[in-house]
Amino acid sequence: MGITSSLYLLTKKRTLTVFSFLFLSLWSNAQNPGEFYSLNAIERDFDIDLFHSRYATLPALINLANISTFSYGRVNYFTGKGKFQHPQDYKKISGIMLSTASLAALKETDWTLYGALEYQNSKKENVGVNLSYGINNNNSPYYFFQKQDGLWNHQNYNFSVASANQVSDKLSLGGNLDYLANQYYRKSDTRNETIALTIAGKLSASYNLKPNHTLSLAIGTEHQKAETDLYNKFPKSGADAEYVIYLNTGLGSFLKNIRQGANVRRSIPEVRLQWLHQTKDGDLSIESVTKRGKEEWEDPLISRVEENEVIARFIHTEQEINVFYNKRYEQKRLITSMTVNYFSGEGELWEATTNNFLQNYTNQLISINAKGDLFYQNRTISRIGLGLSFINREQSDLNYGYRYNYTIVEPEFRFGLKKTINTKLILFNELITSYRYVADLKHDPFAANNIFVDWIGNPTAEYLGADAFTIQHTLGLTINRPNDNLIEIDLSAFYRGVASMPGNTQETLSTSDDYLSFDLGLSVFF
Amino acid sequence: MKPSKFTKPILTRLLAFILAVVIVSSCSDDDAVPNLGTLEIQLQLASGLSDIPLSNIPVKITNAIDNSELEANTDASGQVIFENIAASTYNVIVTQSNDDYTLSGTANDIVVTRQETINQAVEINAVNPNAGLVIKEIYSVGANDGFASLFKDQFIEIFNNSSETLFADGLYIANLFGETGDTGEDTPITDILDIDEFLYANLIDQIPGSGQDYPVESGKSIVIALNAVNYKEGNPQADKALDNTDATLERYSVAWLLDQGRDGNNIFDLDNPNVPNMNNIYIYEATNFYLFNTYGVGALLISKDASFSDSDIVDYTRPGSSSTFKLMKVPVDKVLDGVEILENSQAASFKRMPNTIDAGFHFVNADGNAFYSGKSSRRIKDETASARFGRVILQDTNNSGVDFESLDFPDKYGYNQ
Repeated sequence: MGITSSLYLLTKKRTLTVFSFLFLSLWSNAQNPGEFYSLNAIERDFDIDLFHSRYATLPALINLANISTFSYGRVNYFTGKGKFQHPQDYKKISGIMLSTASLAALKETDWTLYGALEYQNSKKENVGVNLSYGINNNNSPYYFFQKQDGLWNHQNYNFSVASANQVSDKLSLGGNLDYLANQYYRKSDTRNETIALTIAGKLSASYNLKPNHTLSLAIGTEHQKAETDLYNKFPKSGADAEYVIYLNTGLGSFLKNIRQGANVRRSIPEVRLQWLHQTKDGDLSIESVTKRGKEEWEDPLISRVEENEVIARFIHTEQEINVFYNKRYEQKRLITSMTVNYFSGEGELWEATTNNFLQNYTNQLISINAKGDLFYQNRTISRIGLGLSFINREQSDLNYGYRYNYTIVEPEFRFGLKKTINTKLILFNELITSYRYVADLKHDPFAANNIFVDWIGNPTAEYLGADAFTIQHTLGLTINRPNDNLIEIDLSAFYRGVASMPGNTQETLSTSDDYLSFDLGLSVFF
Repeated sequence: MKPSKFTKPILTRLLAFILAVVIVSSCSDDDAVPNLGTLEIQLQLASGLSDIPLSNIPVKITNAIDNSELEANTDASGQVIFENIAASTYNVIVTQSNDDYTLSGTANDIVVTRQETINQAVEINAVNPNAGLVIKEIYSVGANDGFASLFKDQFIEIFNNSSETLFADGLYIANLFGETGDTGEDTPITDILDIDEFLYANLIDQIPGSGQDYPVESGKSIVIALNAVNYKEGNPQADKALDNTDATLERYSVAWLLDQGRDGNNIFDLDNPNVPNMNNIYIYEATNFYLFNTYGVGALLISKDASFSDSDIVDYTRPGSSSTFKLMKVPVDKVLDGVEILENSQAASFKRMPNTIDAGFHFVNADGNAFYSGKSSRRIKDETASARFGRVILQDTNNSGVDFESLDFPDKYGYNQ
């Protein structure tokens, strides 16, 4: 049995184990609905997102979370189609996602537990010029590519468990463990089977410096191991240049004559520090997240002494500042936040002639995201929100002097309505629109004059350089069930269209291109 | 919970700490030097040549890593400078034809290093295009017909580039042994054996005949097929298959091998009784079922004056390997024509023949992997010479990097008038 198969079976076993654990330990403790269950659906979803982004990232804080207890199960069916996608992303998708999560304080103890499970199975078609779909993240330049489009099946199993213990009046300790088993299968020739296992864990402590002032620290790390297996089931070797396999290593830099996959190892330690100030009717927090990660690509076929097992590596540093402010009024709630993120990464290739790594790629990213939302409790208008995102990314390939910079500004508007039909039925309706304005795009291949420019560089510049608008409309129904259980049915439609194209296009995109997707969801809160 | 005001000292300290972290983490290597260099190429006439201007001659460089090409003409002194090019390995090809001669030169595996200027001299030869028999086409990679023909349809075509009928009787065809730059290969034959005087073949066949049995008219060719079989018959993808029953000769070795107490291969090595067979001269064990290596060909056309005996067989053992190959020595001075086809554009170090026979090398696909693609390597037509002499003359600058092109489908007898 190969390593890939072993990992797959291991994943299955762990799936069942964790799944069983979650439901046995949490579900029985999640029978005390609180304010969370009386919120309208839009605000409830917002609070779940908030729990994940603000509290679950510091597990010692989950006993101070915005929502004290919840349990839900959800199933989604989604489908989408359209050409206005990143050239290396899918143009058609369909799939299903099952998710369940529960947060509960164990009765008569100082323990708070959280557990979540997600399973997603999706089919993605026409993924262009990408043989490593799904694993090239963290702004890494490394991935296998081939000109020929691919059909992919993704199966993702994500598990999360967290616990917090109130050790004393001032001190709370917590920890979490996330286990993600992602399987990516390219179903068309050339085949690729990638099993990516990610384990992330954190230990954290929260300490009340003085009444209402809590300082929290979390130290964690994320390890990912991905093994790729490239092969041709029906060899088309050389029949067309479309089937030649390359390992991308930057902008225009690549390694060719690749016949087999690579082993990818990624390690990202993290330190998270947060100050939280709580008042009677609100709270303020400021958080710093520092990460320094390393991604290494290992060649499984080493045949010469001067060759190195690690053929490429990407070292990156990330610093994020989160400021969050939440204030409750009598019939409404104001939530504002701002996130500033700075990312810097350097790609290095092993050079056999010097027996050393040579830097060939740099990547810097600054993003700022500011949001403000007003939620109304007893009005038809349930939400009004504004957001503004700013992204500036600079990439450079030293091998060619190839520079790729862009700046994007994206305002967003959110508007929600609800209509109470009777005590059991509530209709909700949400509209989210955004406009992506490309303030600047510099795409200069300089000395590069190769397939990367034609296959990836130019089409990506067209996609990124296009001003675009998005409209997302959600229509749903909340059904109040006995014993404070809720059923929610919602249907979302998402549309992205081109507002204007950049000059000097190669006509891989046009203003008539778009992307449309639908998501049908059924949730049960209990 | 008791309300309180924000505590400024704590907030100030926290912000100061965060700011410090941001500053430290953002200190990166901003002054990284681009990995670009400069290549200065100076053309030089080969010894014995004079009064040939070297100005305004096109020089093409190919980046062996990404296959990108740049071309520029020489200045009055025969120099051309490529500035700010990617630090990489380059192959240089120089060629220019006029009514009297063809200029040709090449240099392979030139390493351009970061922020340095590399000076490279390229020797230029003037070649008379009106040579005799030349290798016109080599088809070796196998058919793209859904694995019906596999590589059983290989052939080599010999073309008469002269103005008179020549006879092919007694000439030898050889396939050179050696790695071709495929993935995982790391031992060029030149790491073990010297190729200045002898080349090393694992297969040699001879054209039969008593002297005038196999005439090749001017501007025409003969074809030697691995199997003179019609692979279109019963083939669902007949349009992608070859009919080799029109071959002049067929390579067949099963009977010869059995005579020596060795095993033949009746699956890949077939005999069409209607097509004469080549005389088998030398076949190493692992080579008894094909004409050419499918990943790269070192094809030789050898003079009938050559002779081969057991005393010319040498051992070849890779470092760290227990396998020993038995190879037949081929004298360089007996080679009439040679074509080096390697796996990809990056494989120059795997050349198996010296520059005097083939100064460059050809590849079916720049990035390799041409197995079962149905592609073929054909010598290009010398349009200038053909127009001048009123017949088809193929380009023969002794540089397959210039003289050969890849076709999507074989062009057997394609130049025959």
